[in-house]
Amino acid sequence: MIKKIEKLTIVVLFLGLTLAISANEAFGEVLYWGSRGESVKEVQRKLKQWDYYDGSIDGIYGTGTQKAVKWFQRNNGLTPDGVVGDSTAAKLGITLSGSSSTGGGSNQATSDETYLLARTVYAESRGEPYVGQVAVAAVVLNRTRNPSFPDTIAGVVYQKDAFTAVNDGQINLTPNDVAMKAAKDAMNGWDPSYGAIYYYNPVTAKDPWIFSRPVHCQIGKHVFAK
Amino acid sequence: MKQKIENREKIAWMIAGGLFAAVIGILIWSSGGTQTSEVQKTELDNMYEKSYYQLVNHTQNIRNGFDKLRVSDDKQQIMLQLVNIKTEADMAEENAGMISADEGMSTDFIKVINQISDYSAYLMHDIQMGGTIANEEREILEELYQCVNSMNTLMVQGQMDMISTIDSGASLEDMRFPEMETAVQNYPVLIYDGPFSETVYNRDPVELSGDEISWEDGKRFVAEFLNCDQASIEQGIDCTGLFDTWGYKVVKDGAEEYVSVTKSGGNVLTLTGFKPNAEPTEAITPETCKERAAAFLKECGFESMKPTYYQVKDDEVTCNFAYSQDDVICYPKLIKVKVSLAGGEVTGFDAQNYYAEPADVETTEPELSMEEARERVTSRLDITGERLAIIPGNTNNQILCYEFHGKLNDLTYIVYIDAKTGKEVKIFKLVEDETGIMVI
Repeated sequence: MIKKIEKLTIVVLFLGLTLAISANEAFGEVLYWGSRGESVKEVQRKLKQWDYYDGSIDGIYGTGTQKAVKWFQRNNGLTPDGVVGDSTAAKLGITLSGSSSTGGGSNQATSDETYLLARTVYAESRGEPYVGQVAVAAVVLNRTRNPSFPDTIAGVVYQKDAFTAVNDGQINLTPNDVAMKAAKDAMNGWDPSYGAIYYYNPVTAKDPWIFSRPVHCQIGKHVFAK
Repeated sequence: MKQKIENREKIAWMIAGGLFAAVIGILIWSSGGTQTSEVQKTELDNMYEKSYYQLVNHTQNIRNGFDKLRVSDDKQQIMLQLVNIKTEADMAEENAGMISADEGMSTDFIKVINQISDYSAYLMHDIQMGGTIANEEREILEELYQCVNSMNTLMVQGQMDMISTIDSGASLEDMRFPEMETAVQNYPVLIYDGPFSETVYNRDPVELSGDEISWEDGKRFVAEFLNCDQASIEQGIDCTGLFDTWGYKVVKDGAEEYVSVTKSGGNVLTLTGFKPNAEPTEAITPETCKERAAAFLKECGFESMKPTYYQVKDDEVTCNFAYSQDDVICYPKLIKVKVSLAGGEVTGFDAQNYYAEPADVETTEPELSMEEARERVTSRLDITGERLAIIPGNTNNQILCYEFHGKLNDLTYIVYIDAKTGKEVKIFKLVEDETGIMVI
C-alpha cells in the first residue's frame, strides 16, 4: 500500500507528468534500471568479469545489475547512483555511444512496467483504434489507483480472471509499436476513458453485472465504464 | 517363390514390430504429458489453496488488530496496532488478487482491505503529527471492525468449502471469491485525508463554465485547433465521466487523430493520435520541441503557462506546462503537449488537469516569509532558486508552499515547505539528462 500511495502521490500529484514510473526509462547514452539492449549486456559482461555481478548476461538492467553498478561506483570513487553515464562507462572501459537509438524500433530501452502494460494492450485490443488502445492502458492504470483493485500494474494484469488475454496466454505475444506508444501515452497521463475502470465487449460480455456500470464511452468494440 | 513369401513375412513382421514400438512410444509420451499436466494442475491448486489460507489468516489478524485497538487509548499501543492492521491488510490484498476476480465479489473485499490500510496510514500520520483519534474516527473504526468481522466469517466459511472441494478430489480451478454483499452493506463512506478517500478516487464530474455547444460548433473549434479543413473532420468518440465531451476524428497523412471538446464552454480537451516512429532529424532538438509546444499553447490562447518538466520518448517530446498566477506556479493545473522530434508538429495535447482545476487559482497569503521558510531547509542543501508554488495534496487539495531548488554534491533537489505550517511536505530528486527532466 505504501507503494500505491507513493505512486499516487507522484502520478496524481505532480505534474500528471511523467515521473517515477517513467523515470526508469533510458535512451541514448545513459543506462538506468529498466534499460535493455546490447549496451546493458556489455555493462553486465564487464561487471561479471570483475566479480561485481553474478547474474545472467541478459541485456536487462534489473535490480541485480543496478546493485552491481552501485558497488562498482563505490569502489571507484563515483557517486553510487546506479546509473551508467559517461563517467561510469569510462571507468568500466566501455563506450556507450550508438548503443541505443531514440529513433524507435524494437531495441528501444523500456521499463518493465511499460512493457507489461504494452503487452496487455496488444493482447486485449490490437486492431482497435489507437485511442482505444490508450484507453485500455489507462483502465489498467486507473485500477492501480482505485481501492477495489490491486495496487501495481502486475497485480492488476495478473489478477485472476480479470483479463481474458491473460487466461488464454495472448499476454505473452510481443507488442507492436502501436501498443508500445499507447502504453507510454497512458503512463504519461493520457486517459481517453476519463477515469474508467472497466471495459467490455457488449457483444460477448457474459456477466450481466457489467452492464449495470455507468458507461463513459464506446471506442471500437469496447465499452468503457466506471 | 518360397523365398518371396518368406521375405514378405519378414517385412510384415518388421512393419508390425515398428508399429508396436510406435504405439508403445506414443503411450509413454502421452502418459508423460498427462503426468506433466496433472503436476501443473496440482501446482495451481496448491497456489490457490495457499493464497486462500494466507488470506483468511491475514483477515483474522486484521480483526485481531481491531479487537485490541478498540480497548486502547495509549498512543504507542494504538500506533503498534495500526501498523499491524496496515501490514496485514496489504498482505491480504496481495493474496486476494490470486483468487478469481469475479466482478463485484473480490472487488468489494479488496476495496475494504485497501481502505483499511489507507485509513490506518492516515491515522498513523495524524498521530505522528501530534493528533489523537477523534470520536468520529473511533466510530469509523468501529464500522470497519464490524465489516472485517463479517468478512472474516464469510472467508472462514469459504475456507471450509475449499477444504470440502479438495476432499472430494475436485479441482480448485473454478474456486470463486465468497460473496461479500452482506458484509459490506453497512460499510461506511470513508472521507479523510488520503488517496482512497471516497471523494478522491470517485471524483464528481467537472462542471465547466460557458455555454453548451453543439457538435457542429465543436467541429469548428477542432478545425481552428488543428488548422485543418472542416470537411476532413468526422464523428469521433463522445465521452462522459470526469468530463462530458464531443468527439472528433481527423485523418491526416494517413494517420488518425482523435480530438475531444467539452460540451460546456467548447474547450479542446485532448488530442490523441498515433504516428509510426520516424527517425528524428538533427534540425529538431528537444529544445526546439519545447519552444514549439510553448508557441502552440500561446496560439491556443493559453497565456499564463510556464514550462516545467519534459521527457523524450521515442521520436516525441512531452512538454508539461503549469499555470502561473501572480508569480505563483500552480502544478495541479497543467497542460501536456507532445511534439514530434521528426517533423516538429504537435502530436498530442491533454488539458484535463487544467480544466479540472478552478479557472482562477485562489492564492492565500503565506503565513511564513521566504526567509523563515528557507531556514527550515537543511543547511546542507546549496539553494539555487526559490519561489512560491501550489502543489497537490493527498485529497486533490492544494497546498501553498515555498519551493526551493538546491544541490547537494552532484544531485539536484526540490524541497517544499508549507507556507502556512512551515512543515517540509515534499522532497523531490531531479534527474536530468538528454532524455528530459524527471522528478523522483
